[in-house]
Amino acid sequence: MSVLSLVILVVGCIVLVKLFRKRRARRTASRSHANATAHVPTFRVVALGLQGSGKTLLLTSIYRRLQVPGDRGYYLRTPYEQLIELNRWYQETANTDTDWPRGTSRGEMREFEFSLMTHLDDGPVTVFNLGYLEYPGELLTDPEAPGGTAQARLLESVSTADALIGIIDGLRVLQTYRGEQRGKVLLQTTLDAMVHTMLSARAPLVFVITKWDLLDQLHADENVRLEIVRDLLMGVEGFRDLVRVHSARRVIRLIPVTAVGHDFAELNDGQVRKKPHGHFEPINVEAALSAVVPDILRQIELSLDHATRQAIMAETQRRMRMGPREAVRSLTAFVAERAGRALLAALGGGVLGDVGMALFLDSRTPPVDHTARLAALSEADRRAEEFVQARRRVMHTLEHQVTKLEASLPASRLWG
Amino acid sequence: MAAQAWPFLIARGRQRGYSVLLAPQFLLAEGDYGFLEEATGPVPESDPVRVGVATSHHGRRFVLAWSEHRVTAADVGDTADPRDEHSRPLRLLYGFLSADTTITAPAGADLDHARRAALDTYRRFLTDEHRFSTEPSTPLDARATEQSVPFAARDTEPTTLFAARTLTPPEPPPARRWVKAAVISAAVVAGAVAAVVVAIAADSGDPPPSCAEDTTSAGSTTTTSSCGAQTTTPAQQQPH
Repeated sequence: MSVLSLVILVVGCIVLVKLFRKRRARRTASRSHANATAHVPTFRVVALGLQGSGKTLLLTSIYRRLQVPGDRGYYLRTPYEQLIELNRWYQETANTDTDWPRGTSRGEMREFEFSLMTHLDDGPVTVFNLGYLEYPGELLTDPEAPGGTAQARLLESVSTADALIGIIDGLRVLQTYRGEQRGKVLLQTTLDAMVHTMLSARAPLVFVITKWDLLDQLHADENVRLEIVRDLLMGVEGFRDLVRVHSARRVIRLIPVTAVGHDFAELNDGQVRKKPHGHFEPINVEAALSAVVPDILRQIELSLDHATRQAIMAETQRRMRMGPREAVRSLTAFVAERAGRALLAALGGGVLGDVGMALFLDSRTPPVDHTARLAALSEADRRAEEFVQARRRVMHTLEHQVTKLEASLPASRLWG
Repeated sequence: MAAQAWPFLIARGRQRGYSVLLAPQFLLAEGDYGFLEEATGPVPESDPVRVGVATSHHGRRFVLAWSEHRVTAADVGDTADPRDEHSRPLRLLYGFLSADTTITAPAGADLDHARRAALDTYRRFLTDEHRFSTEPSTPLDARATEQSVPFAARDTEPTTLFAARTLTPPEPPPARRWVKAAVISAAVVAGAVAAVVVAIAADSGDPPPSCAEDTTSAGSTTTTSSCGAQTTTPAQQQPH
């Protein structure tokens, strides 16, 4: 066999080996990216509020505000049929020539699904999913008709929710402040329903005062206004106890929101009417949602003992210096350790699993300039790394929004 | 052909939330009317009548035909359209149900009958919402074969909430990929072997034989065709 034959044979073998390696790298990269993006955790949220308290309008306005990224770097997406429904509600609400939307019936009870999206260089990715239960508020107060199942389904959803939003009707707060009996009764009923369902709940809580625009007349300063409302609520025995019990290990906030804005509706003769030329501009509606995921993660951290928290911080520091594949290996090893097992248990084991753990560790990691680090990675690893960095940015943006709210409205912290 | 049907009404009051205000006597007696609230819902203006099949808690299947009516001042003898205490207009979900599941299109007259019965009940409800008990409805003969009202059938089973909480495992790569990889690898190997053989042949310096031509060499007989096939057989032993 001549030299030429040998050369051809060797070249053929090299080509084969290269092809094999390329294919394996592509598969690994694909798996690496899939690991980073395919398992998207879902957080389920239930807003507890009586009929007419503004649950549906809040949902509509949250989506309206978050359907585009703005300066946040993230936005919400929802399945098309739900988008149509949300747009219909928005049009009914924002149109000053029409009535307020009809209330939600039992037949409309369902979970709205939102994907929180962010953009990488080559397109959008889902950071996490949010489920938001839409239901008629009377399920919390009225007896169920024989043979009905909606109430049981609601209570089941509440017990398995990842976060609870307590909706307090601002109109009832105003009526109570003015000493109106009907308002007092309804506010008490609202708070009683919350105490009953939330006292034994393990999920993080956030309270939202809806129709905040109707309370403008209480005081010119918004934080003073919120203090007045906070004092009024904390004067109610059951509510005060609920806050006290949960404050030991949970973050409890009181967020004032208006789903229509301060210049859209007015109260006349006990009826809230749209102004003929009202300006529709929801305020703070996204804050409740922004508080949900960081609060879930913060509560997980609070539930861990000191040693576990130290181990998690050390793991977080290690992960900052790793590539995606190394991070996945490290996460696997970390799960086997005591701190990892404790964290996994706090995350709910199989509910969120290692994806929730990765999200948790990311949320503890400050976003830094990773340009040099990215340059040293392969294309596939870079894609996965970009996803991890984008996820961290979203988590920090969410936390930043809550921090900003606390800075402008210190009275929004209920327990301090 | 007429089928027996019973009017029903689901509505909210000025203070009370949605509830069943009118239902067939036999469902009231058996405590099996809660499904009516969950099987019905708002009716869009573009599609003013809905028809669907629903199963009660006790497992009975019914056809429901219903529509929606906004309560006017005239309906309740008031000067302005009534609203609930949350400033929302009051609406009725009214219609009828029948055990005859072949009904596909309700007659307009039957729905009118059901609306009249519903409004009578609703007026009594508004006078004392909190003490009101669900009223029994009297049956009507539904003219089921009439096609006078457009309809849209839908599945009215309640939706499942928060059902799947576990993360879906990643799908394994399809087997087709392995087949494709094997074919590509085999082709590359075959190509490499062929290239080596061609190179050896070229290296021998002999002109390539024709497709059918035989060549004989010492020790073996090699048959090479220009088509690329090559066979080698041991040479016949020469007698000494």
